Amino acid sequence: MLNYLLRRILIAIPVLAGITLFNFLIINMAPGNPVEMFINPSMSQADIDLRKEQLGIDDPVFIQYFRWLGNMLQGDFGYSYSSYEPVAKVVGARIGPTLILMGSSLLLAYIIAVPIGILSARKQYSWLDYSATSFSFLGVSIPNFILGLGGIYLFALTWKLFPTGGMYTLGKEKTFGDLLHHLIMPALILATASAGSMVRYVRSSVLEVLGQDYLRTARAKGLSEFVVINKHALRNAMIPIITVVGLDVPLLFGGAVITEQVFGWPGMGQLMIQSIGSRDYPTLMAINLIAAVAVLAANLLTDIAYAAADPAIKYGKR
Amino acid sequence: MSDKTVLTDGENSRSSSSPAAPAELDGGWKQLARRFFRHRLAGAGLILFALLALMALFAPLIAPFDPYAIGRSYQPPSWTGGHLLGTDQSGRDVLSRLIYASRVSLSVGVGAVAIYVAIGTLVGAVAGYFGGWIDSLAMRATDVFMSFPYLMVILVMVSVLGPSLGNIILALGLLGWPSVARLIRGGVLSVKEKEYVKAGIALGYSTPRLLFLHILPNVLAPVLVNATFGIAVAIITEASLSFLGMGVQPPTASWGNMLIEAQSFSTLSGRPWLWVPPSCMIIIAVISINFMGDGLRDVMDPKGRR
Repeated sequence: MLNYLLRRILIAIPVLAGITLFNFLIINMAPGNPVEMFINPSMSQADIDLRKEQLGIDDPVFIQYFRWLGNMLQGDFGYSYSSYEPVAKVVGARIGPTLILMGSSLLLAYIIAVPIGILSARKQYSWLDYSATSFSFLGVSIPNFILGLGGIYLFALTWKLFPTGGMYTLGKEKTFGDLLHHLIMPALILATASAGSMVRYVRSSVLEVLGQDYLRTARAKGLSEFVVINKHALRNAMIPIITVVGLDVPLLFGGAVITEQVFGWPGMGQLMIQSIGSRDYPTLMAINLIAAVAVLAANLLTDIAYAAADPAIKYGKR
Repeated sequence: MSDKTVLTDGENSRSSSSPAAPAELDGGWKQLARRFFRHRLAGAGLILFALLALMALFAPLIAPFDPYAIGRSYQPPSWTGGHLLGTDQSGRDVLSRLIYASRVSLSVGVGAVAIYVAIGTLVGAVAGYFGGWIDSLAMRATDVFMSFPYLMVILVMVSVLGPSLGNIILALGLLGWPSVARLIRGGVLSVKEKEYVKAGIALGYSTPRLLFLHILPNVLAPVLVNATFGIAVAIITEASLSFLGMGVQPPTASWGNMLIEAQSFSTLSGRPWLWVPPSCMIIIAVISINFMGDGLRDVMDPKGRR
């Protein structure tokens, strides 16, 4: 197991290097450079050159890449081109809200999808199964921002049940209840796509297990239906579901960008859209890097959880 | 000619008694087509999608107005005034813009998927056939690309390249290939050990001929399913990008950028004709494609149908 873990982490390193390189190259293809944004008519050429030197943008690309990589490894992400604050500080303030949004969405997706998936597998071809399948289909097919607009229209503007956006009510004390009130709609909407695909996974996974011989054996032994389903079937059916989390995290990040924009949620996604507008490359690179590291970490954790949950999987040798 | 290859190769692999690889078909394309059309939802999806395609193709003939012609702003829909779905902020006819926008969505969907299927097929086929360090390198590259938070990277790429229809297609095409590459690689790995491939080697066929004419046609089926769902994903992505202002730029109409106006609450609550129709079009397009994808998946893998 330890062996497997080490190997898995070692494999992640070149992947991470690839991600940083790709990220860096794309951003360096950008036309125009940030200095142009600082230029105003009162600046002399010397001022401009000084500024360029400070930012180090006249150096060859690969030198810039290694300098950036080296700094980053020491936790120095550079300075934001738009607010002149350290990127680590600017982005750091946004990680919390995004984690709250994504974490609660993932949790909601599980809470919604797992019971529905199980029920729909147990009552296969019932009206419940058909409606669950249709809802999961709609969840996957309707883009987040349309659900967001519809949600704001119905629940915020028409029925006034929830706020139209933001994380806390302006000018009021930041309480947990207030946060929850603001969180429910964006989290639910971000959860729909994940929940939709998860229902299908759970359903087919449970169906597969229900057809196995060992369940017939368990029933033949005289075990109650409750024990057969909950102890024998579900434990085995849930194992493949673990992998869905790993697949979902990259999608959640993308969904978070849109959901945060629609609901004015002050997270990394919203910062990203702002940074694109102001060509704030250091901030953009830091956001993409953090997201990529989070995806890699999620994949790693998924693999470990999978290995821990399924005694039949042995990772030591290969 | 290639059709014939597919059919005969299909027969060969069926008669060999080894357990069927997931990439293979039992039966030829004709039988698949028959099963596809018997699948009701897939049929409905195909009809809807065909209607959308016709709408995109004949947009200039169908649209009642010039989608760029400016008139009186915010006219509500009316049967008598001529503007069936009303007008937008600049007084342009919403219905005509809706019809023209289908061109954007369909070309993004089909264009992006065509690019990434081509890249993915090439990478996957070469990696699977040659193996060794080529394979390792290609698979590490797919790991890198699959670890990208997809939409975020596309946002950065499009903002760097400049937001336009062509660049969106390019960005989606350049990022989408890894899943196709993995499917193809897996298929090639199992098919290349078959007797008919060995026979081809013995007959002295060139490597490209073996790979592209004899192996690839037998591993393309799962890619068809992947590509169909990929069109839906590409359409959603374009709409999302345009909605964020990083996609197709006005005055060109796209269903996504028609929804930008709905970010203001006065439009959202007071002028539903501006945002309900484009939302519906996006949903209809995506659902029709997903129906087809679902049907194809059931058809390819009858065991998976429940």
